[in-house]
Amino acid sequence: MTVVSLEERRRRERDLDPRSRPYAPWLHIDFVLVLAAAGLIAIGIAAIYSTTRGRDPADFDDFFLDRQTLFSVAGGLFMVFAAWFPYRELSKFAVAIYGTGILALIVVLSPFGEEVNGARSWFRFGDFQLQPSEFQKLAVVVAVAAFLSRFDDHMSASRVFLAVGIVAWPGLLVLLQPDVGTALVYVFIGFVLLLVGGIRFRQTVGIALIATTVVALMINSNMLEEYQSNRLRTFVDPSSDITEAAFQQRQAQIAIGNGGVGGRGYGEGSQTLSGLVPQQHTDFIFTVIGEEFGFVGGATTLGLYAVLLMRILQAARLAKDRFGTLICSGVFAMILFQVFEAVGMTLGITPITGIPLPLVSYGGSSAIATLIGLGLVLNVRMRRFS
Amino acid sequence: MTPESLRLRLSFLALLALLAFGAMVARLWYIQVLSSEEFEEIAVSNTVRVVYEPAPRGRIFDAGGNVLVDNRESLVVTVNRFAFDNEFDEAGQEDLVLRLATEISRAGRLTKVFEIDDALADPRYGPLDSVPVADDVTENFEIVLAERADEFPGVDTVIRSVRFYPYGDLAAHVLGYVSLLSEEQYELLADSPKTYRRNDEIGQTGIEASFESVLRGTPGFTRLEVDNIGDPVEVLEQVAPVAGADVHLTLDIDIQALAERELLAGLAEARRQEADDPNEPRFNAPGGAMVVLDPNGAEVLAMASFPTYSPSEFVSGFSEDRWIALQDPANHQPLNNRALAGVYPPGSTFKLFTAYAAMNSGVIGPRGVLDSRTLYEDNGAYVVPSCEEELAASCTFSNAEDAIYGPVDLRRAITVSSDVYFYYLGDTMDRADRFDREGIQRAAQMFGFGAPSGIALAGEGAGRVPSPSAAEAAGEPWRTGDSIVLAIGQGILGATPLQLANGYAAFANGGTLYAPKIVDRVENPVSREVVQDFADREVGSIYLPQPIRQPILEGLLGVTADLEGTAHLAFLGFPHQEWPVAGKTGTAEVVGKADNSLFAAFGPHPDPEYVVVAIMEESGFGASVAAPAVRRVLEPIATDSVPAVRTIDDLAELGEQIGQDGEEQDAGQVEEDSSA
Repeated sequence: MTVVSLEERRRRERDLDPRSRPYAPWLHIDFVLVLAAAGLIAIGIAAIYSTTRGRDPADFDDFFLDRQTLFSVAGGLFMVFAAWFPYRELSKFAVAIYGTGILALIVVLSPFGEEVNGARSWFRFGDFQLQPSEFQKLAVVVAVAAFLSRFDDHMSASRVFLAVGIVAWPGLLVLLQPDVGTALVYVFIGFVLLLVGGIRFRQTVGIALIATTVVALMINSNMLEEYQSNRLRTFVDPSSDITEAAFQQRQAQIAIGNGGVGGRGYGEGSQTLSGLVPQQHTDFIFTVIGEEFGFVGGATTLGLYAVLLMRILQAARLAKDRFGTLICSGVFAMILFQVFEAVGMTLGITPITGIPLPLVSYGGSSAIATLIGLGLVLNVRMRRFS
Repeated sequence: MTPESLRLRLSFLALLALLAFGAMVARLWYIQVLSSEEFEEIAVSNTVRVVYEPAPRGRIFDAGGNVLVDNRESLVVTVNRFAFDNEFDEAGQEDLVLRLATEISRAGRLTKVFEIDDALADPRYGPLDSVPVADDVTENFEIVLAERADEFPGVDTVIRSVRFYPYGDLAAHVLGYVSLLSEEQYELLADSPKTYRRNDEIGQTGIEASFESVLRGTPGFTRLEVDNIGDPVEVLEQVAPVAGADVHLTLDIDIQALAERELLAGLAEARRQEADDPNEPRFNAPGGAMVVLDPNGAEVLAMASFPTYSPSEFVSGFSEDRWIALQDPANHQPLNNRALAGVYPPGSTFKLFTAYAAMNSGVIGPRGVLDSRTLYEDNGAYVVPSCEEELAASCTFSNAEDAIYGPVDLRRAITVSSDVYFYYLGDTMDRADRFDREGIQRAAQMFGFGAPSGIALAGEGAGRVPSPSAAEAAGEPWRTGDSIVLAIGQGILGATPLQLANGYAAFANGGTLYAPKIVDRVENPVSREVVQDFADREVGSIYLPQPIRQPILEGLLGVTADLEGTAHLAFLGFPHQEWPVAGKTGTAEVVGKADNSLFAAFGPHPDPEYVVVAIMEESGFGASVAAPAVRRVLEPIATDSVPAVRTIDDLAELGEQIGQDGEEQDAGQVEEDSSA
């Protein structure tokens, strides 16, 4: 029997207690980011309930409320997993993740996929639908980040070309669904990752020229569905027509304007109650916030996003390695672009595209994918010392 | 890549985010804080629908309580534009219109495809509105629609209250017509408490227009909260419509019918006359007017104008060609109410007022140039003494037809219508310094000439009374000749038939000038309570003592009763003893056209109850056309045998009776035949 001194015992106990280790990852969880995300989810659930519960107080419809709560809880669990899993190992799985995603995007175009609102973007599992393109955003982030993190100098043209290729394949597949909005998210993610990855200025100009040409060809070709080109045209000249797109944009702005400074009050928005804004619980969710919570509510929501994005950018800066920095930058790009587009289209400053507002819009795939992304950011930040 | 470079690149991302959020917050501020009010307004109108329920328009009655303008229900087919535009392609739309026209026609209301197309293209209706495409559709169509609703999406029927005229076109000018309000009217009435909407009807002329604010009811409405597809969710407010008030006129529909009939007959007679000289203008008799007043209060008993129109034509609306035709001067403007808008030289009918002026200003009288009994030698022409051609315009003025009447006093000058006698009066007043130079003008104005009479109908003419002072003010010369022709009612002088009748009424009632009254009272249609009562409105009082009135009156009575009276032939056989008529013929010259024929009369003497004035354009002598027409109006009145007018419904019933009788007779005949 070994006699251990009291001092020694205390030292051993201290070593066993992880709190005593200064670089223990979970001591560095970014609670500000977590709280901002939780706040946005709460606002989202409230807004979804307001627009989907119906008009009869005696018989409110809880369907969407229940499901979004479920998605949020599930998303939280995924986030914990994404934060727990040592992120550096991810680069080993990058090819597998990316490949699975591409496969899913191919299969979803086949009769296995389900078409909703003219886009073949979903798999159906019983009562649930899965949108692979949402998860592919993260796959693109991880894949490009893994590719670019292998180098630490300014990029050669061939490397830029390869990175663009990683983004382009899923982008094209998503365009075939067709889902222009999500494809644009990929483009922006790719752009930001190249920027952070060390692209040269003249390469940026080259890519911009090529991208402009491609987009111009796309708009002029018949690749876009009629409603999509209508949306673009309406954006250019809102008074030009009375198509559905102009109607949506108009009704969205009326709803937000109707909110005024303080909002109409929860459940009191007349535009929301009357169901005048289409897709209000998904892509146009910001109009509910704008109408019922007013400028105060809208600005608070945007403020929470600003905090979230600031913390992500901070994580990118603090990251111990390039892979971490690139992952955080990718998630930053994904959220920034979607917020700007989904809020901007309700305000009439961006054209209408079907993009959910991250964490706030109704939808499981989007909520879970975003929370996984945030989990990765937490992961990178808390492992910055280890 | 250096850490500085990475830092720079991440800062660039921060900048991007800052720009994006700056733009969003700025735009949010603009929408929610700066232009919130505007959006709130739209949001309210977005979710609140107001459904209007039109109120029945007030009715119009004559003095005897007969309904002159009523409302009836018309079944109208409507097509919802939204459904029409969205549920069909072009071929489908054409097909629907064709089927619709076929079914409506088959149900008994003939409707052409282009009529429906035109109605659907009406810019007054919005893209979500239901557009009326056919009215007065039979109930059979309603049955077709009920059975085969799925074949006619967006097609519906509504019941609309429209104007109905039980006496057809009678008194069309007095009553006026209603039609859809114009864009200008809509803007003018935007703040009216009676809530005008773009496809509402409004009184455009006559009583319908001048009593629009009374006749129009206040529409009811229901404010509904609706959902995004327009289905009502909740009733927010409901206000019942209030019917418009009824207007009771002073008009007597039987006398109105008589006046219209005789005006028409008189003009037809005028057209049959042959001109003495083929070089003289023809008697076209394109139009005329007749006014019947009660001189005690100047109540309008009848007011006829020819050519006339049919107010019921406006009920369903008509083609643009028809509208242009109604406005075309070549058709002599049938919408124009000549009785109060037509300005005519009164001719010799004006001599009453010249005579009054001469006596009132002392030209005739103890200190004047002659007494009313003084005989003046009418040798067929009046030569202006010490005449200077330039100042007088002419030095010799002749009687019409170069007649020579010999010695005439005032009474006889009126009875035989001696122009020479009145030339003398006009010349004397113009040049003798001791008399009022504008005595005739002053008298004319006292009797209501030169200014609108004040009747409650729009579009009244003011007429013209020329005077030396007015000419001077306008910088034009006034010559003795102007006063001379003014004395016989010629020249620039112009009066509306209503003014002339009202002047005669003032003389007939002993010197009170009233504003002619056409509306007696306004009544609540439900309670029969009098909302507005119109008293007789005196607008002037004329000094008319017996010594002045009597000689003139005698002259006027002689016109119809004396053997040498100008209207003696026209009034041959008239019951002069029981119902003495004072009158005056007029034959007014119009440059380049045949003379206008006029006659003004009142009776029975000595307590006149009727004044009748007739004016017939391009119809010849007053004695030969207007006087007989007035006589044919006065005789039934004098003998209390004015025929009662029948309404359209009465006539239809009568027609049915006659038809049945005829059938019975035919049947009887057949029996007889078979028995024979």
